Amino acid sequence: MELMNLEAYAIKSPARKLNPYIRVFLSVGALFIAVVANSPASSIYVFLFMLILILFFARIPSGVVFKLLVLPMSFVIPASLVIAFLQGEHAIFSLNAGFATIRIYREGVMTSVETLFRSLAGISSLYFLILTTTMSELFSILKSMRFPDFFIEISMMVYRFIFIFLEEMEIMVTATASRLGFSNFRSHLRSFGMLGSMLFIKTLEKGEKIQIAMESRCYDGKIPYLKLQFPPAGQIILLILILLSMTMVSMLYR
Amino acid sequence: MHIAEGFLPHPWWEIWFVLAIPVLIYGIHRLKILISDRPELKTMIALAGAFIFVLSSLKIPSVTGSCSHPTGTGLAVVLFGPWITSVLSAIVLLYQALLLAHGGLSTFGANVSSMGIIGPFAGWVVYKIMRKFGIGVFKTVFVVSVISDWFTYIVTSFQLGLAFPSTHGGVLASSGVFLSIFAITQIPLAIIEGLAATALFRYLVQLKPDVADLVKSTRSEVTG
Repeated sequence: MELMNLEAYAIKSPARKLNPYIRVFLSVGALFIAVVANSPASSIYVFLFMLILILFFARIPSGVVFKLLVLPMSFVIPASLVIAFLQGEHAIFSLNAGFATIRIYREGVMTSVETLFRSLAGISSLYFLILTTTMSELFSILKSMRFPDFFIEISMMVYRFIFIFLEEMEIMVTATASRLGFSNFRSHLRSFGMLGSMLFIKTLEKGEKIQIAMESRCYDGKIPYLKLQFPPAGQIILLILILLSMTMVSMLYR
Repeated sequence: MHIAEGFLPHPWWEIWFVLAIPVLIYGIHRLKILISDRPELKTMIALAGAFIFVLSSLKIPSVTGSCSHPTGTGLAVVLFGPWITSVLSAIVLLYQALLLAHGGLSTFGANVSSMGIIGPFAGWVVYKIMRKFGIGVFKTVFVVSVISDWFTYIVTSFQLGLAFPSTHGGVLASSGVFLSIFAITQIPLAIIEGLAATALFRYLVQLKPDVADLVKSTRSEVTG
């Protein structure tokens, strides 16, 4: 859960000089190119490009970036390994395990390497977005994309509730544990149910209070935002150049 | 489940988007009607969303390109029905991608299809059937949670299997491989989730009986 603090990096990051539209289009564009191109070369290019942006432009400490990358990789690496056992004709390795023969195929290894790099490219572009953009900027962008007001409102409430939930949960888990609430499996289950429902109710009450507080301040379902500025021409040209270079790499090295 | 960012290759991530978006648009439409009918439910709906987020952030690595964790959609299905649950799951999945890099934007369509649409709809069908036969509401909550969770993982395995078919046995064979790896963690985890959801629902209707009004004909059963 310590990852919830990622927004703190976004607020401090010098990358906020860049217009929010540019940041969003850059990461989504890079992600799109990596996923559509399906070539390891362009995936590696996108991955390295975004990594360099995160480290030297957004100035995120390398230790943090490493930790952040390891986390999804712990799912992606084993998963792409599974593919190596599934696809292809030419076995490059086989092991007779008595009841079944386990084979690794050459084509499968190719696909798994491809998948691994594609995921890396995708994850690094996603991290660029996460580490440079705050939620309120994203809400403004959603609004300018004509998402309905009540949908954005519900999303913002969910966002606020997540944090209330986590704060309350921490307090209540400590209280339960100090009363031996998690001492064995049965009481663990019982405590979990109690804790969950109390959490639900407490958060609901807090939410209702927020609602009342806002309504007494003339809230009618619309939260006004500062309108985002249109990006300056220089930044648009930069964005187009970066995305073009990524497209070129994916066209040249298939 | 939550297939990692960029994990699905070219045709597949678009296909799941195409399947998910119409359902989401209709879900948003239903949500709009519900909120204009009963504005006091707005907080409750947002809360159910946050609840799904917290539950499905408790992830356990599983060997399959995604991970195992409770889905938390069962309770939302019982309270608000599958259409609104699909919208809530979409919001939650977006936050998980943007706050935790758990799941992703390109695999958003696939993840919404499994956790937000097919899983909850399977749970909803079970809910309808069980209520028709007059089975108690707490037993129903348990079964609905377990079924929505399992179906979510069955769909995820199928999504992975379709994207990476085995050369020796096709889509079904590789779906089977992914499913059997998920099963190790998910069969017990879903049952625990079901028990916890039932306990939660029990306390919820005791302490806040107006919640039970959402589920038709529950109130007499709980208080009487």
